[in-house]
Order: sequence, then structure tokens, then C-alpha cells
Amino acid sequence: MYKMKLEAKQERKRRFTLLVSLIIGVTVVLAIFQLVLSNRLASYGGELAKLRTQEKEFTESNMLLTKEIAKAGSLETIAQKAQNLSMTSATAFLVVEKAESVALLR
Amino acid sequence: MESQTRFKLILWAFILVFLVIISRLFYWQIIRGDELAALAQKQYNFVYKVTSKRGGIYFADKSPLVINQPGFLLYTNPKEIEDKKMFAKLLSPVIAQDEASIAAKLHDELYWIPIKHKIDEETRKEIEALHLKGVGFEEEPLRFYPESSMAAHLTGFVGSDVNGEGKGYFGLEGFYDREIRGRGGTVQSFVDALGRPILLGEQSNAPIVNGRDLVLNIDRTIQFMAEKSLKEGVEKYGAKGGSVIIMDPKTGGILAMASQPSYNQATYGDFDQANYKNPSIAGTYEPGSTFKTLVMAAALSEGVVDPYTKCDICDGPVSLGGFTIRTWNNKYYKDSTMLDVIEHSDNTGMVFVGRKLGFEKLYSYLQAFGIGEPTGIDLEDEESPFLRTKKDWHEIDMATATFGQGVAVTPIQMVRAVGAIANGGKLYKPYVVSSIIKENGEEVKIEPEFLRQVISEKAAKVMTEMMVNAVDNGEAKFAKPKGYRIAGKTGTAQIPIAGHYDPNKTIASFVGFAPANDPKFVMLVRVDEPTSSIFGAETAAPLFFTIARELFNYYNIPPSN
Repeated sequence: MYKMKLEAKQERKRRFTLLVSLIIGVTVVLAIFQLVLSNRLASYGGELAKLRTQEKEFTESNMLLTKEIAKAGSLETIAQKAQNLSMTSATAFLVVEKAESVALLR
Repeated sequence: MESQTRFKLILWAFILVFLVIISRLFYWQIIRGDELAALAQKQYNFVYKVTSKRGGIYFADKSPLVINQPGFLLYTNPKEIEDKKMFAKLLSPVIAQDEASIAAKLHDELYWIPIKHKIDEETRKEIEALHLKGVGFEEEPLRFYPESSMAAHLTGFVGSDVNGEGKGYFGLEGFYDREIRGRGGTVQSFVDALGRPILLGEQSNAPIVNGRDLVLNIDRTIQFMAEKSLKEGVEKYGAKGGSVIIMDPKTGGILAMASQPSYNQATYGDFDQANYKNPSIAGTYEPGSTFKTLVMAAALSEGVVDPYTKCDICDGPVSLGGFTIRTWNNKYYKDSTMLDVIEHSDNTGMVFVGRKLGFEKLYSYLQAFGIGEPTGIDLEDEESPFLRTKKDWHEIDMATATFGQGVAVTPIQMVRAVGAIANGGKLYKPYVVSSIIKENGEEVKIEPEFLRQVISEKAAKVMTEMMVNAVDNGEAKFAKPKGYRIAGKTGTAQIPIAGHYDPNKTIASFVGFAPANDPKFVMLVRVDEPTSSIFGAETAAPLFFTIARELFNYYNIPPSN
């Protein structure tokens, strides 16, 4: 009878130890996880800052390129280039009637 | 006994240490708690301002008229500057500010002083190359105009509001400011001890929304042609200024709008502020003979005259209430028909038409044509001259109004009204923006707004033919492009000054549309105070035909005969 009680007590003690070990184990794992996560957060901060700078640079460069394209394609620039090439505006144009043969036109 | 003393000593030591800790904690947490909390927040909280991107303005073909470019605010911390004189001397030529005014800004007691707003990327690079200490840059959006000062009166410009934020003034920038400025705000993020961001998410005080883009009815090529021709015309005729408006009569969409003298939107501060106002929508003038088209159209619509009705008072000057009404060249044609009245631009004939129509009808038609009310065009600062109330009209006022004297209009009002004649009597609201592109790319179309039927379709057709006849046989026939049917009317209005008309200064104008049977455009050309000739037929009309010729070419419209 005494032996049985002792065994039951030892079994409870063993379960208690196991539970405590499990809790400690989980706590340690979570703490390590937290540590790793914090470390990653902290180190990715630098990455984020770099990406932000890059984004800003790309946006700026994109704006500058858009500006260059717009300037190059503006009528002002085209007109200037046409003038430099001695082009002149059309002052008269020929209207070709569908029914009439082009070869007969003078 | 000895052990008891030791025990008590240790106990008191513990109590003392405990009290010290408690009092220290009280000091840090209660007395200086708020201050430290604020300090901590300042260390890990980083709040930065995000300005919204201002929307662009695009021509009908989506080519850019106004876009953004990187811009910066140049600031300095005077405490870091070693030699202020040298600092000002080096900076002065780069930012185009004199040395004295730069030096005057450098107060020692301040840490942050703005030196120059809205500098571009190139200037920033030039400043950086100087390696000046105490200089910094803050982003500040800047507008870029690929077509230089083209359509300056249409676009308006971006200045600053009372808080130093970008704000649109005049034209589209002013009218659509709320749409295109977007909504900026502040963003709060967390940083570590080194100031690097921590990925804990960011919080914005409100959603940051970029501005919307505007797509216009304005055709880039037509605008370019109109501006070029107007500039040349103003120089050729020695005029003080001028305006050209080209509109699609079937929708009210503005295809081009140009005025001289103009200004440059990018350097608006260097120009006289009087130039900011758009003469096409705010420049009031007496329309002169171009107004005859509206009065005659009203009379035709009422059926009180037809093209062959004979004028029984056209054989000489008309006396009225102590005044004498003459024709512009003092020539009189007995039994003139209404066709002749428009062709000869006969003032006495118009008095005849006015009498036939009667005051009540004339007044209601003027209102129906939109005289005296703003057109509602989507541009800031539209003005409309007041149409006198009925009780303020005398017989002479009615008589002079029939040939466009004593009434005032704006160019846009005249274009809209004549546009109704071109469009079978249907009056449309003029508008510049054809669609708005939202941030998500969704395009919201703006539909043409039909206002009312002003005159009958039949009257509009008859009036069109009378205007075609006026162009073919009138004073300006020498300049008309051959083979095309153009409906139009010249106008030469004297300028009222101090209760009388200046005999030497006029506003010459020509309003018309083409091709007459299926109009692609209605156009008004106004030349202010030309010196080569005071008459519309010799200034505004040739300019109208020059632009019309280019438009026929551009639209591939062949001659009709």
C-alpha cells in the first residue's frame, strides 16, 4: 500500500517536472524566436532605408527622363529643328479627286 | 544579541535601499515621467511629411502640357557656415540672388533658414559642387512645361498658399486645384537608436492621395498654330495684343485658346501681374459688327425678316433721340436686303432689324445667346460684363446694340453664341477638360453640356448662308482661302473711354466657322488696337483666314468647289 502511494507520488513528481521542463523549453524557444525576429527587424531596417533611398532615386530619375522625353518631343523643339533643316510650312496642297486619274493631273 | 543587531542593521540597510529605489523611481516615473516619455517617443518615432504628387495636364493626344520635375527647397544652418561673405558670394550666381540679400538672411540665432524655393535638379547639382557647409535640400515639387510658355493663360501657374504649400492660380491650375493637388500628409514610423527604420509598420494621419491628371480638348497642333499665327499677326498689325479661340461647335470643346501679351508659367513672378488674366475669358470689349450675326439670327428665327426683306430706312443716316446713326463708311444703299445688310455691315439696316424684332424679343434673345452671363467654362477667373436690366435701356441703346455698340461681351461669350449658329441653333457650354484620370488609372469622361436651343435650325442655316455671302463678297474677301465655304463676320469696335469713343483706337475682330455646311471649328480672332489699319477686315480677318487655311490642311478638308 505504502509502495503504491510512493509510486503514485513519484509519477506526479515526474509529470510535474516534465510540465515545468516543457514550459521552460517553450519559453526559451519563444525567447530565441523573439530575439531572432528582433534582430531581423533591426537589420532589415537598414535594408528598408536603402530601398527607400533607391525608390527615391528611381522616382527622381524617372521624372527627369520623362522631362527629357517631353522636351525632345515638344512642338517647340520639333519646329526649331525643322527650321534649322530649312523646312517651310506647306502653302499650297493638291486635292486629288477619287474619280480622276493622278496621271492626268498637271 | 550580536546576530540580532546584525539582522536589524541589514534590515535597515534593505529598507533604506528600498526607499532610495522607490524615491528614485518616483522621481523618474512620476515627476519626470511625461518628459521622458516624450523624449523616448522622439527617439523611436520618426514623423515625416509626404507631399502628394500634383497631377499633370495633357493635350487631347495625351502629350504633356504640364508635368512635374524634381524640385527642391534650398535651406541652410548659419551656425555651420564659417565664412558668411564667401558663402553668399559663391551661392549668388548659382541661384540668381544678389549677395547682399543672401547674407541678410543668415541670422546666427537660427538653425534653419530657407534660401530659395523651387530650384531644379541642375541647380541643386551646381550647388552641391560648391561643397558649401551648412547647406541642405528638401523636396519641393516643381512644374515643368515641355512646350515652354504655350497656353500659359490656359494652364495658369502654381504658386504658394499661406502655409507655403503649392496652390494653383488662374486657368486650369486654379480651377481644378482641388483635383490635381491631391492630399499630402504625415507618416509616422519607428526607428532604432541609429535612426534606421524598424519594420513595425507605418501609420499615416490620413490616406495620401496623389493629384489627378487632366486631359484637355486642346489640340496641341492647333494650339501651336494659333499661338504662332497670333504672335505674328500682333507684330504685323502693330497691335497691343490679341486673342484667338477655336472651339468645336458641336460639343463646346475648346480646341485652342491663345492670347497676347502672354507670360511664362515657370517664371511668372518676372511678369506684370496684369498678364496673368486670360483675355479670352476675362477681357471684355464691345463686339462691334460681329454682334450683328446674333441680332439678325434672332430676327430670322422670329420670322420678322428673311434674307430678301428690304430695308426701308437704309438710304441715309438714321436720326434717333438726338443722335445720328451712320454706316461705318458713310455709304448708304437704298432698299438693301438683309443679305446686303450683313454683307455691307450696314448699321442702319441693323436698326431696321432691331425695330422689326422689338426690344422684348431682342433682349430675350441676347439672354438666350448667353450675353451677360458667364459661360461657365472650366477656367478660373472668368468674367462677364453686366447686361443692363430692361428698365435701363433707352431707344438709342437698343438701336446701337443691334450693331454691337453699347453692349459688352467676352471673346468666349461671342464664340459660344456664334457656335450656336454653326450648330443648328444649339448652344453648348464651352469646356476645356475632356477627362480626368484618377490615381487608379480610371478615366472619367466629361460629357458635352447642351444648354438650350437658341434659334430655330432653319434660322441657323439661313444665317450661315448670309455669313458665307458676307465672307465671299464682303470687305475681307481678298484674304479668304479659295474654294472653301466659310461663314463669318468682321467687327471693328471703338474703345469707350471717359464717356466717349476713342476715334483712333479700335478692337478689330472676326468670328466665323468652317466648313459652313458641316463646321469643324468656330473661331474668333480679336486684335487689340491695331495700328497698321483700324479695321477688322484688314487685320483680324486675314489672321482668321491664315489660321483657317492651316486648319483645313491639318484636318484634311478639301475645298468644296
